[in-house]
Amino acid sequence: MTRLKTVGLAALAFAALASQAWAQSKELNVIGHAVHQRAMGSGEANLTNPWQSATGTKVNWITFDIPALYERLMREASLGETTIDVAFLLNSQANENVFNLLEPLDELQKANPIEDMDDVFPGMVEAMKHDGKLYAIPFRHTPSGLHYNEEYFKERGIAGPPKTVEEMFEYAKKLTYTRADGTKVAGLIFTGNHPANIVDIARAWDGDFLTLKYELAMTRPPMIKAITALKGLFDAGAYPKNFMTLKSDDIDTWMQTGRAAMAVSTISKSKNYNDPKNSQFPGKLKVVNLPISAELAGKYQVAPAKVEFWSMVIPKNSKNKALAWDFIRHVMAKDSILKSALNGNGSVRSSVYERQEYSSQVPWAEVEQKVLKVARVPVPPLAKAPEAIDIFLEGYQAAILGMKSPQAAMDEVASRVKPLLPK
Amino acid sequence: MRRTPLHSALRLVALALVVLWSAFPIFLIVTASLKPSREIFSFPPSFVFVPTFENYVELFRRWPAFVDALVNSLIVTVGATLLTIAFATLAGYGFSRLRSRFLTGSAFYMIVVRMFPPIIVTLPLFPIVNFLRLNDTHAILIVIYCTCYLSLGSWIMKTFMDQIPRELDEAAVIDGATLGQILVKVILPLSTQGIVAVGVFVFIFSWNEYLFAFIFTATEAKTGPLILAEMLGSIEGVDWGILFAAATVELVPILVFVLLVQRFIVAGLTAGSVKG
Repeated sequence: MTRLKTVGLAALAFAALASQAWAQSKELNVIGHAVHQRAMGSGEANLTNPWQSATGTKVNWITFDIPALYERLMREASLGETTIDVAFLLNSQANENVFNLLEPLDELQKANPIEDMDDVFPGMVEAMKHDGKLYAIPFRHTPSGLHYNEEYFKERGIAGPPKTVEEMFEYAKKLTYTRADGTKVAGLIFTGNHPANIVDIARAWDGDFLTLKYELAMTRPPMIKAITALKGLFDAGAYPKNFMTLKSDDIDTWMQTGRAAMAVSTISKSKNYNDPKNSQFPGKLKVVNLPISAELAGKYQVAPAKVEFWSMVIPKNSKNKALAWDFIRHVMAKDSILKSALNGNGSVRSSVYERQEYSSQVPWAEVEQKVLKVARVPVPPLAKAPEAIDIFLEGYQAAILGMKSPQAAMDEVASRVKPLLPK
Repeated sequence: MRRTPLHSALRLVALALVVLWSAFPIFLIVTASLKPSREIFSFPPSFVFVPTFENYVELFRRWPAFVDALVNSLIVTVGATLLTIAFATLAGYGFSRLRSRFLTGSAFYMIVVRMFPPIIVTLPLFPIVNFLRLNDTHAILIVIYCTCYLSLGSWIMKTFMDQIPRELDEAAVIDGATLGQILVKVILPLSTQGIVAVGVFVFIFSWNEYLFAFIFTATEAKTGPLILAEMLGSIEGVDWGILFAAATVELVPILVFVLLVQRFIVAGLTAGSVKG
């Protein structure tokens, strides 16, 4: 080979490498929680791989825990220009202040639509609209259910899960006991540092804290009935004394270690609760829908429990809006949503629940499908939500501890929350 | 003073309580990292168990970003420590050997700025750092951490250098040494304990720091504490075994560093407390 040929071949090889590098030179920055990244799958099975190859784009994931993620999104979106192209936003964080910093998606959807958008649960899509414009595309949901320890039910002579909420409270009292090995079992637990699960209990009577139209629903009979029932449970010693500080992690640990017999929690946590690596009761922690009150037996099949969901948004100051929209279109395609659902992501497409490969692999698919027909968000988007939540929890705690009657406590909550609502 | 057996026993008990108070949480973290996840919170707690490295294997399999974050932590920590030592040594020498109204004022200013909570400067700094394209770089964290500890470091170094007789400087000058030579060949070797004391402060602070790392990094310079926070904020449920394994790995560099320099630490922190 002559020197000239060698140089020529080297130049060609360099050009090929350079063009490959150029093809991969586009980058898309996605800010989310690790759970969103995991939903895409990993390695060869990553559902964004075909899109990355086709568009020559590298997807960079920037992940944080929930409060940090929101704080970062707000900060980046407030700049003159941001490197964040796609962000994940929780429904409760989607208020008018946030929407003002986001790109309206209607035009993008009109020009280059997401596959079969009508298949995405309409309630979730509707909640992401502001002043008639769509700002976010739902991607993941987490509805609540009732988890119970089958072994404990047998130990206490209870045949099966409760069919009404009244039965659930009765069972909770029976299931508060000390086992032969010394384990103290709490009958019923749920998070006490956020109103979401308290609203879940109120939903057994179709109750709310705030309605989607920002009506003060906490003073109405359903919420009062729920708090009165929970106070009864507390007085009977069947609702943990530290109910105010119970966090989501505590609920998981208590169920996995057998410190609680029933828990109101996200349905898909069933996977974690029954994981032999983490749980002392693998296969014995079942999940069912939250039962409805006997009073509403004809109206609902199951309680309209709370559902929270994550959506994808594009910051108004992103430089790659077209690319970001293309990414959203790809991960929202029917096939992608099915793949992400098989990776443990709550599917926002109703058609996924009809797919045999999904229902055969996800034992709680039917439970989720039932509740999604009636579920709604626990608290509507509210700019002053943290303050309103603190006021509600203060009133709730006062009622449970007997410092005020449930009605008096909620009346006071209503008067303090009213000025925080949108005009 | 003569020590009675009771006196000695009380001292031993007090010492044991202090050790227990400090070391027991670390013991719990390390042992929990070696237990199968399902046994970590079992009741009654198990202190005798067959150790497993499963949590460590899972940590590196499920959180590959943790390794990158540790490397970032190391780069930032070492960088900030060296930079702070360099500037604090020079500043300490200046404050110790020179006298002027400006220097007194600047020394006082350094103490005052240290009293402000860091969050005050953090948020206004974000758009500036972003404009300078320094976001998500090791350099920005190194500079910020250095700035945080430069005032304390300078004062520590000043205190040390105050104890080095000026006659040594004067003797070196008579021998024809330049200012740089005096600093490197005379002052620095006699200030080793002070340098180590400053280094320990900055190293531990930089390694554990969360707020600035959270504000100013995204992917390229993300540090270990951010990944630990993510593990704690898991939506699907915290995997405690993996979290304790990560906490143990995060502890190792600090423990190694402190063990290596411990003989300097006590001497370094107490030196300068008594004049003469």
